[in-house]
Amino acid sequence: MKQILKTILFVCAVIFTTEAFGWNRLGHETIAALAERHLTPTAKEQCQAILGGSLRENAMWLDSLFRQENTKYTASWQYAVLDANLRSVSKKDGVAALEQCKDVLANRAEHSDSTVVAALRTVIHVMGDIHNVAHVRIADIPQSKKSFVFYISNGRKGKKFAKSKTTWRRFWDSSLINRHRVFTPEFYAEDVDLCHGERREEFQKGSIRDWAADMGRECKPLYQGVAPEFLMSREQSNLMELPQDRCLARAGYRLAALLNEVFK
Amino acid sequence: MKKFLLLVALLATTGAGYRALGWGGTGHSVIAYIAEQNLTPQAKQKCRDYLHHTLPYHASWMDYWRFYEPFAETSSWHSVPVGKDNKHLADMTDNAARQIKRICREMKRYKKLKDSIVCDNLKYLIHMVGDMHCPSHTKYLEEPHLKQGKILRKGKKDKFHAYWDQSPDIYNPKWTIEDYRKNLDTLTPAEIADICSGTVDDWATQNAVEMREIYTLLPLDTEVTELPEESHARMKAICHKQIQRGAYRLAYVLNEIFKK
Repeated sequence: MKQILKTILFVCAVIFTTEAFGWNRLGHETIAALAERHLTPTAKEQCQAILGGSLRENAMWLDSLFRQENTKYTASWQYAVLDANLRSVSKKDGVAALEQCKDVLANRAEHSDSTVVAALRTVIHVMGDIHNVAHVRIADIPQSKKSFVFYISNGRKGKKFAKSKTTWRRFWDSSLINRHRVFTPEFYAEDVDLCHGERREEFQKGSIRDWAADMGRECKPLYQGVAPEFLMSREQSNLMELPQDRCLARAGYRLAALLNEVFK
Repeated sequence: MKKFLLLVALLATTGAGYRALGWGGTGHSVIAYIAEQNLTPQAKQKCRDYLHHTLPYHASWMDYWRFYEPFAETSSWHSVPVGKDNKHLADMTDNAARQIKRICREMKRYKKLKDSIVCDNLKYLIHMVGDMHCPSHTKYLEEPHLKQGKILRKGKKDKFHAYWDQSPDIYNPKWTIEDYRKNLDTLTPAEIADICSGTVDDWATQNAVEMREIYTLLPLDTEVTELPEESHARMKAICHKQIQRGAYRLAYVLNEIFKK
């Protein structure tokens, strides 16, 4: 009985982690796999040496810290907090965490091995999170600050009409990307590259703060007509795939750019 | 306790945001993925040039857009109606086999078509060649005893049709497209040539002859969990065989289109 309850608690923990903490595994690992396609040989070698594995294998490490009591403070790193002018304004959000971790990686000789490993794993994960639409909080968009329930139509009319209940976070964290849930991260990364590769250099330009502002610009129009309890049409949900994939592309390319820079 | 565990399992499924998309999701992605591995380099490049994506990315596009007004006509292009003689009802427009043939004819002059038309045609072919091989997508309109109705899954009513649509997820719940490739893209060139021989009409007839078996294996109102092991083994084998046929034939169709 005790064992069963433990299993149930574990299953629930995994589930609610998926719901609460950013991209699901496929999302994070696709971003890591995409970055790996664009690392310089030197950066790839150094990442491998520090991590003892691939970026993809380390993409979910931070998720376990979000729910541990002594590292709960890391939960705020899964967001980019922007003012109405899309400037980063928090010292505790993902943008600040990325800047600190980048600094640790750039000056790795001054830090312990474990700190460097943690910084690199954090960069891999948080770069993904701040490029998730539901994780960009914009001051003048109240809906962006807290997840809410809404409905998605099945696209049918009359008696065959039905709607499914979801949340804004779940939609962007897992539901949309799970349309391709049998893809391997490497294959999804290949697809993202195929569709968005031409914009790689454009996406990689600027600083971490510029990247967050760019995400703010991507997110703003997506909130038009969006409010708690609203009904999203099937067409609208289909059309969300393109911005989602653009966000995956941005995250993957920018992760590669950051790592190529610090591991020159 | 049992009820409690069932409730937890239900919560787990809902909470994780997973949805059973069935042949519409997994099956179509897998067919397109294996097909892509079997394209000539030229055909693969052409497909990617027009789609700006891989084949599997668009494998379920027809399902996602079928209820949107501009694509309403395509909503009935997902199955193949057949007569008692096992030939598909070629006069019916609501017929995937007929639409595949029409698009293949149109694509013979793909270079003269607008890029957007070629792109849409490719999305149709990727989906419909898969769909015509889905076991429950052959419709025996003239034979009432082969009508699709309800079955039981763990005591709950479910659709016979949906069971077959979801069969890849049911039989291989943890497989990725790569696992499918390793396990199913295993035929010899001679075996592939054999699968791809004949015409779309012949493929539809072969399906019509062979898919009658699924109504014997899974009779209506049957409790699926009580079926003997041999039935499940056979149903899984049918599911895999149809994925292989769909994949190799899709590759064949696209290779033919882009050989010039």
